[in-house]
Amino acid sequence: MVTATLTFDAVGRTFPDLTEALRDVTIAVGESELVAIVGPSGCGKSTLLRLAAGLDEPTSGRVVRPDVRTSVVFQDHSLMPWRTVRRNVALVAELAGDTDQLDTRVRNAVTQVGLDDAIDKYPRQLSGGMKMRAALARALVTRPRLVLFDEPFGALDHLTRIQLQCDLAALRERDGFAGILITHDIEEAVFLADRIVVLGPRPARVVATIDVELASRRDAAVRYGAEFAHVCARVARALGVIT
Amino acid sequence: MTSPPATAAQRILRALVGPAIVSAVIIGAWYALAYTLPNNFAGSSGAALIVPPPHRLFEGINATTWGRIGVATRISLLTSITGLALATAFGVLLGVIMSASRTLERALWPWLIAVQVTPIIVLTPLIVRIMGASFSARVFVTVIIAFFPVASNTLFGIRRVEPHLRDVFRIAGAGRSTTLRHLELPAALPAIMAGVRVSAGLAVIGAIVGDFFFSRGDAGLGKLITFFFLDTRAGPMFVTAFIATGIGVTFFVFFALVAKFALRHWQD
Repeated sequence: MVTATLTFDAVGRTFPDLTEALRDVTIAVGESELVAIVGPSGCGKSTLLRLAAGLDEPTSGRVVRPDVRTSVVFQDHSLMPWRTVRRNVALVAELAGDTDQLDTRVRNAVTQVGLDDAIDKYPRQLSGGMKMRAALARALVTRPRLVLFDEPFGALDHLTRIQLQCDLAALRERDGFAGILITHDIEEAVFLADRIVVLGPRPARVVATIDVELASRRDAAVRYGAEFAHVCARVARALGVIT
Repeated sequence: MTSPPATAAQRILRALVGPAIVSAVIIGAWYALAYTLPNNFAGSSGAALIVPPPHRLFEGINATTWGRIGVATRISLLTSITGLALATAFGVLLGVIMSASRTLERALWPWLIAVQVTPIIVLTPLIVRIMGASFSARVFVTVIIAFFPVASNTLFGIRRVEPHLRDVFRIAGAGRSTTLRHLELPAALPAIMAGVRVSAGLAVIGAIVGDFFFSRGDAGLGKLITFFFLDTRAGPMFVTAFIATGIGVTFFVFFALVAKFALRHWQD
């Protein structure tokens, strides 16, 4: 039995305009576990992530957030145009007052995401993939135990996305942080997650939970195995994409 | 078939053709006006009374007149610079205060609009009565005219900070003042700089228009223009007006360059 690091207990969220985004959602994310949340567009996946981050509160049920360092990575990378990669990566740690050996940690984080040559460049000088790498480095520099990903690779081209998925899998294998991954991409969910929660249309409810029993080491070859295709098919079936 | 790429000299020439044509048309119209206006050269000295032709612009300007123009330029320049600095500080402060809460914005905004739309010729006599014909009063008039673009642009810039960046700050536990210093003000800088550029032009207008109401003390450019107009000295009047225009253009170009430098990392 894994210890839950983040728990949604019968969570519901209705907005002031009476739009009901979530109803009776129960999910537990274990230590070092990455749970992918997939579901139709507009079903409330990002609302779930905002609840996990403490940026919003449920209107029913409860969210038990761990008292651990938490980072978030958004699709739009959210880098500050007036700061270099180095200073963008240092930002969250600076804000949290976590400045012990920050320079070294920033350099290490930038190296881990393969951005050494761009450490003193500004966001305008980076490609979309490089910006996302910088956002990943910023999330990881605080040595988080929980990372929340909101469709992090959704705006990237296919090849860059696959490369970054491999990099993220390697970073997780090394650092062992827990996480929630919001994504539209079934293959991305299967490749990165330990478990996939499928949400139904709004108001979102959990319609299926699928364990991903692939090799713990996720490299590019995993995508071409029969088991990978099998799990993808299960998720697609739960989403109603195939019958 | 494509034409060969233009050389640097050709590109410069093309860039200059438009402005040169417009300048030639304006100068031509100026000459035409000067020599067709009835009674323009009716005075005993032969100098133009209403519009001097360009090549006779400096006629009748002796050392004493240059001295007066110099003093007036210094006064208007000092008033504009001080007024703009205070208007910028006051505008940013107001923008920050209004961005802190919708209630504050709703409370302050109508009054700011009211001050902005009230013609300055209505307010200036009142300000002179209250503050006297002092340098402070001149600066105050300039601030009243110039603060609004900075205030509204600061508010606009802070309000449109990318929501996910705010989320990053909230998750990191950043407080109001940290968020203001490290996120909101830097993110609002392009909008603030655009506001300062507009305010720079207004500050010069404020310093000169306000000057019309200051009957006591040394004359600024506005008062000197009125003096030369009443004295039918068209040359000095035009030169003084061109200096006022020059100050306005210099302010605008200066702040455009400052903005370009400050925002050089924002985009390509």
